[in-house]
Amino acid sequence: MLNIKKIISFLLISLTFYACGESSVEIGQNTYSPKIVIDGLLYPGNKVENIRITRNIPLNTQLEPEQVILFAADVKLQDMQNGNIYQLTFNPTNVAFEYNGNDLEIGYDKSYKLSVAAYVDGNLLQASSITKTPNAGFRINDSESYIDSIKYQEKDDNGNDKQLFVKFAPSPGTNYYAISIVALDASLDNFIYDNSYFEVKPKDLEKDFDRYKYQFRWLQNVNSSSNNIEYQVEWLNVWFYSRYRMIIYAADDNYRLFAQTHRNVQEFDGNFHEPRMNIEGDGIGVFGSAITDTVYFKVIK
Amino acid sequence: MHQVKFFLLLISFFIITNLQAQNSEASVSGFVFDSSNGEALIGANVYLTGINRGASSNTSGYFVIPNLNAGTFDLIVSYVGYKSFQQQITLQNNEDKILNITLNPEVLVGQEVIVSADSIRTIQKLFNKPVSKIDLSPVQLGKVPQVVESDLLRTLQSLPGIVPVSDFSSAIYVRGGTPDQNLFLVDGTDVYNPEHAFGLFSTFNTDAIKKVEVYKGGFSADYGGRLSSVINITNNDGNRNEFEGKASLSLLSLNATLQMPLGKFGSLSGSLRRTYIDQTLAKIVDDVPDYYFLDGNIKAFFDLDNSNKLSVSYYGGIDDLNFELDKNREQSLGFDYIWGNQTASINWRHIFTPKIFGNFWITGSSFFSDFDFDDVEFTEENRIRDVTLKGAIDYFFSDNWTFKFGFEEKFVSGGLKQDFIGGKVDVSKKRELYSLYLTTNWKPSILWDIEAGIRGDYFNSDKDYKNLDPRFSIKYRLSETSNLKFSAGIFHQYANRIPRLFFVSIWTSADEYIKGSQAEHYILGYQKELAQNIEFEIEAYYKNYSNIYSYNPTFLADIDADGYSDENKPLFNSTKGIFNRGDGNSFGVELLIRKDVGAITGWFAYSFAKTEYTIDRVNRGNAYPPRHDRTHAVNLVANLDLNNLFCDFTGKPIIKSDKTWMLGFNFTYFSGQPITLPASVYVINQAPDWDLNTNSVAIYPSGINEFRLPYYARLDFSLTYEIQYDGWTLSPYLQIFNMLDRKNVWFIEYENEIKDGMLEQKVNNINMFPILPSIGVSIRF
Repeated sequence: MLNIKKIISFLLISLTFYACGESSVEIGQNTYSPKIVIDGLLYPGNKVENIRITRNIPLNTQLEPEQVILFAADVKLQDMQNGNIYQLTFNPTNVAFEYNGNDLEIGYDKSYKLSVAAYVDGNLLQASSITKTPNAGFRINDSESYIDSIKYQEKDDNGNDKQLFVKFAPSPGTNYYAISIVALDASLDNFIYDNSYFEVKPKDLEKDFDRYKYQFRWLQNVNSSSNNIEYQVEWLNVWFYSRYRMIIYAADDNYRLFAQTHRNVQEFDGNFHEPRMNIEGDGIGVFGSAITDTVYFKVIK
Repeated sequence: MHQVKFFLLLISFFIITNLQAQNSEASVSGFVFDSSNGEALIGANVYLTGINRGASSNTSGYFVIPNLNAGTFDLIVSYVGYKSFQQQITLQNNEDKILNITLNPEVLVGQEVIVSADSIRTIQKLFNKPVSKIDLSPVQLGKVPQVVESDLLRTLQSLPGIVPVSDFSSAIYVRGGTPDQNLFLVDGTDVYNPEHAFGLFSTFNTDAIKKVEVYKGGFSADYGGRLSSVINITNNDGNRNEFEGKASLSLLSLNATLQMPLGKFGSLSGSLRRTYIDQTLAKIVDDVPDYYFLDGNIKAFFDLDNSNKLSVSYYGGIDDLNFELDKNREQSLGFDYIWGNQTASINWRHIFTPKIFGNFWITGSSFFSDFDFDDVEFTEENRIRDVTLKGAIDYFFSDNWTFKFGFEEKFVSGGLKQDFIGGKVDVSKKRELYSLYLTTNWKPSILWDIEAGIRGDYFNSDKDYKNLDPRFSIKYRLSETSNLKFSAGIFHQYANRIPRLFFVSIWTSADEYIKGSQAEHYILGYQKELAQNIEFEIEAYYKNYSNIYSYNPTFLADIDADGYSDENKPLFNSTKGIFNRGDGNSFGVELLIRKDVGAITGWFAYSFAKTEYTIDRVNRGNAYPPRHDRTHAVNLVANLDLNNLFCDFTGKPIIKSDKTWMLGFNFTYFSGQPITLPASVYVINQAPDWDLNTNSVAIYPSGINEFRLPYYARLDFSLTYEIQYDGWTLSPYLQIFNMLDRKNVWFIEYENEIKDGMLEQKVNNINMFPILPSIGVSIRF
């Protein structure tokens, strides 16, 4: 009987010990492995510029620009049509790599390879990626679009919602279109506090200001053989009484994969999964290509 | 048509063979019932002591001991929780004696509970049990403390080899398999998405359940269509003697169960449960959404005659969520979400001859969900329906040789429709599954029990799949108190579930893009009777999977339009890109010590397990442990009858009192869950034209599930006071989930913060349930 009492007492103490307290997860150097970060797009007909080469950093460390930018990286662009290789140089003004010669013109429906080598934490890392530029043909049809000055959630004479929209001719073979909407005059003062969706307190707005100012949408699996695709600007993209710039990117597969996956890496249950990036070697980010067109509109009270 | 001909031929063969055999042999057959309510007892042991022969009652309560010589025998029938039945019977040559046996429950107030009189030894019960099978009664389900109220699936999570993925989900992961690899059967009907409240609770009302059989692997050819496990639930037939009721009130729901006789030839049972938060808390607190679930079932049992029993059963459940982000605004972001299950079955049991027992079903199962999010112009309709015809014939060829033949024809329809700004999804299909199986059980001597079976499937979808699944098991008595068991088999599955947290799952099936999945099971078990009514089991298993499918979290990047609407919207009509294909394996060892009878009941379970998946496009194609991989798991479930607490130690008889205090504990320990952590951050904008801003920092994850969370542990407690008076029983109870308030990590939340002009990253641990006390009361009459 005494033994049973001892066993039960020991068991209860053990269970109590295990079943109380607090557990925590520390994230530090043990999860980190260095990578080259590529951030650049080629635009047919334009100069090669704004190719940003940086590095990733461990969590819980402060971000300081001079620690992140890989000024001394060896960055080369190869024209896959003729095999010519072009050395890109670092431009300190826009903190990015570019090609300054006159012997390279980015064409439509052409392939280019970017190769990067850089020392990160004393290790030589290498990364490369190939993009195929879209076909010519993408443009916004201004005459068929309704992009203007509009009151917030304005209604027409019949009481129906007025809707801003653009119509565009797609690039043949390109079925992914990214849409970037930026409130150019966004400020804490002209935020639409009486929006239809939810209450935003000034304190929260200050914290999440950029989340409201910069909006990103996309159209995927677009019928690229059609000659007129419509995109309606949803009021959920509009949070300020402001001028807006809307750029549509007819983008290649590399940018499509990056844009669709690189922010959506945390699942509902909190676990992470990998983004999809067409970069070989020790690299992450995007090296893609796109054709762009831009419109402006204004939302007033 | 060929199947029907084959089936009729087989029946004819059995009947003819049986008639020939009947010429010289006698038999004892019949049903075993509970005397208090007339319910058939499943798994009762029927034994002829002198000649050491016996049988177990099947899911209909039917048993048969064939091929007996004329003579006088001592018949003993026993069942846990009931007084044993003993009778001397005399058989003449060629006599088929039919007995309807009723057993009396042990628990009569003021009387001694006779535990030691149970004449069937524990080791014999263990030997009779198939490999990897665990039975649970409603009493056991009700005793395990849980979140707010008792829950079948959460109770199963405390058994060895069955683990949850978090406190917020009642889904079960059996021996490394995913929840869609579990076959849920209620009165013979498949149930899809058995979840209420986004998976927080299961749809099974424990008050309506008569018996739960859990097969964790190596199951016989009777069952198919799933890779990992079978959870076979039989609901109450109804009280055949008198009107009986139970009403329960918990902090979650109101629940009522009624049972009544239908004259002399049947019974009726029905349950209804509804949550009431929408009518109380949601009206006061703005942050509580308008949500409720309602479920109910009704079952009628008809005892047509000695050879024909019929039962008709229906279940319906619905969840309704009307969500508004800001209830105080005239127009707010919000959505309507409604989903539910309906199942129905007709089951006819027929005794063709004492040696041939038939069981036939027509079942229907339907699951629907409708989601409507007007503000973002998104609607969804998710449906799955099946109608199944199935039958099984048990043929007791001789005392040591039995056959079981069965067929199943399943017609499945439904699919997913979505309409959103960027396109339309319409994946609606019809599929058919035809299965035939044959199992034979042979006992060459008292020491051996060998079962072999084969199941053939023909699955008809965009693409046809044909498979033959052999199954085999062998049992051997090592000694008077120990058994050795082995089981192996091949299993196929043609249905896959797309899990969605906060959204109900979508079911789809094998087609031109998704192959049928396959698993092989190998199980070795050892059983020991530690003492009368104390069972010890240890099992080692190995499973491998091929063509298993996991939801592709980046499916948007992989889907292709199958066409375009008139408005140029892309149309998606296939499952291409939705899943990632892969293979995997699991192995482990499980230990269970269980005591079902006495003042202290419960079980201790330990399991060691390893699971690895290799999935295309995940972890760069390298093997990784899934999130439900728990290396070590320990469960201790203890229920104590405080009035008789020390009787088990002192040997004094247990006296059932009219006032009883019951104490319950449930201790759970799991070693750390695999997790993918954020490995680093990098600076990049979503759109190339944006200036650097506070959202320009992105996370890059570590290797998939490369790290482990800290261990998970929890201690739950329940205290019940039961008062009986004049046929009424009142049971108020207190339950405390996670009574020591351990903060178990669920996942890591990550956010950027600007401090002194510098960008900093902040990491927070998000925990699972804290301490959750709850009270409730139930009344039985």
